[in-house]
Amino acid sequence: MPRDTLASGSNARYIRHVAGGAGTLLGNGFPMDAGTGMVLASNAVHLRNESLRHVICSGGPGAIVANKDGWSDLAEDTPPAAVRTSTLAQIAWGYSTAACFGPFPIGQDNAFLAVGADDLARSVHVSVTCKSDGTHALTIYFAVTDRYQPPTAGAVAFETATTTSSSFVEVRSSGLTVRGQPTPYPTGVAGDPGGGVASVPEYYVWVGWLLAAGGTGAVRGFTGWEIDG
Amino acid sequence: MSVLIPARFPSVDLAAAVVGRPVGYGWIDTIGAALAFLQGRIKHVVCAADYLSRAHGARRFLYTPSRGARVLVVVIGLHESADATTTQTVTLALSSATLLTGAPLDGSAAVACPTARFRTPQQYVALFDVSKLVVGTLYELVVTSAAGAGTSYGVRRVAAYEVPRDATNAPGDPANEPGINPAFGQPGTNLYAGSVSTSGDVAAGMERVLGQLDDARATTRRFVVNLASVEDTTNAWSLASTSGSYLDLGTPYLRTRAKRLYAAAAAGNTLQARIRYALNGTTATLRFKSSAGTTYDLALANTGGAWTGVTGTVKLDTNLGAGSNAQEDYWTISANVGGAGKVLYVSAIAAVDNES
Repeated sequence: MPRDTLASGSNARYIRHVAGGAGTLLGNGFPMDAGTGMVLASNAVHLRNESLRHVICSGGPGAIVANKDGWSDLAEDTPPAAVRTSTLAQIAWGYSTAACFGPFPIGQDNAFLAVGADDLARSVHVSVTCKSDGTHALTIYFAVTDRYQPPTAGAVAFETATTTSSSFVEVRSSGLTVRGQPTPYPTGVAGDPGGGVASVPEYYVWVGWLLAAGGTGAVRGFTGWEIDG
Repeated sequence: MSVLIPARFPSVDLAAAVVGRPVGYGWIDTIGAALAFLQGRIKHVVCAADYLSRAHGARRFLYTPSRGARVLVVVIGLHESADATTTQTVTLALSSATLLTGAPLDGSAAVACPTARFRTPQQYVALFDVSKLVVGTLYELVVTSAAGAGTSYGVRRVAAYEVPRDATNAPGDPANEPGINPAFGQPGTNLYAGSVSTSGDVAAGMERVLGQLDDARATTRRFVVNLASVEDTTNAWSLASTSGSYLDLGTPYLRTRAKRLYAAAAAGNTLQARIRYALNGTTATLRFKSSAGTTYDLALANTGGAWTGVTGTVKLDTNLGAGSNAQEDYWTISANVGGAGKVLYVSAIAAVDNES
């Protein structure tokens, strides 16, 4: 597991050392001892633990319309009501009911997954600043897709959370599992394996909303970042 | 000859080392691979925003390259329009960088807007060559839209990230490439400290490790806030002057998560904030207030109504707890605008980690 540091939890830290090129850590010709090596290794692992990226920073639509699931807005492939029984299909995930973020490149080093696991993708955590009117439920839908398509066409992860708060609150997802379709991009380096083309697994994050009939509410902003586990 | 960057962070077992004994080549090789992974595979995610203001004009996102970045991917989505015949133009610009992909995101061709009654996925992708950009320098990624046929509403969403690297192209070039040249050590031998003037032998390996740690500490995960509105007085955030009080600019959603490098509260978590704004005939003070109430002010000079950028230092609170929510914080951004009837306009807010 890539989590071996000299301290953990709230004591975990980067241990300062002489700057690169200073040449003063050891004298010329002397070997580096294991204690120094452990400090450097601990620092490298600590930097990995702190390299979880901020991925979403966005404003929201503001005031939202109650009881609008978006299905009636669509002229294409609207499934019959009998099909729209799953929680995932309670909204249409179109322009009036959802936001889409991405694509994002997957970081393959989730420290909480077993060594040797096929998929070590970091999870993603999403936070929504929103409010209702104190009475009516505002449901926030979180989904991850492995390509640019609505979650109803296939979601890697999906969950919901609800608030009735009349003041702005933060509604959070848990750690959403991510998985992505490899997308070819040039790396800009002619000598790279694959002829200078990287196959980057990408994923998308979707956030939807549905306010109960008769309510008033707003969605003010979205934030998301990578997490372990 | 290129050197492969591992697809996953290599396991580092501290128990394998015995204090007081020399460290073998393999140990440093592992650290080098770990640093190559951090800087080569975990590249910057620059921004991702949806529901941008529904208008045409320029949006300016902050960008600073990571070590060894070569290609920046920019993905654009458009606001929906009334029918399928509506078009607009979108022009991407990034100073000192070359747009590798041509039309349509160079502004030379019209792009079709998605129609309101369809949700068919539609997005446009562009690539920039950012290899000439300087690490540590702040650049602006400018996304400009203009009306074409019919009534269109501009860019709705923007996402940008650097393409991960599979390999280093010139592993012996410390200034430009991540990781450590395996040739700097020798299997089965100790790694010796020494001067970089002996480049290529085991001595230079030690310098390379320290240098790469410095780089990774400073450049890993830099972006924490990156938000832009159309740069005009209709769509930007605005705030009229009052009698000396700070007023909310309406952005309490600038929630973020700081990089926690040091245990000491006084060290680290310093960020560089960049604001695009316009003021005419007055000055203002922009205030970042952390969740714990600490405030950091940026002085905004009179620009005569022109749009300009200002950079300053802000901080996040430290030691914000452990677990999945560790190091979370949020800012409330407010402003004090001098002079009766004067208005402050803010079109972009960004903050990057400024560890050095």
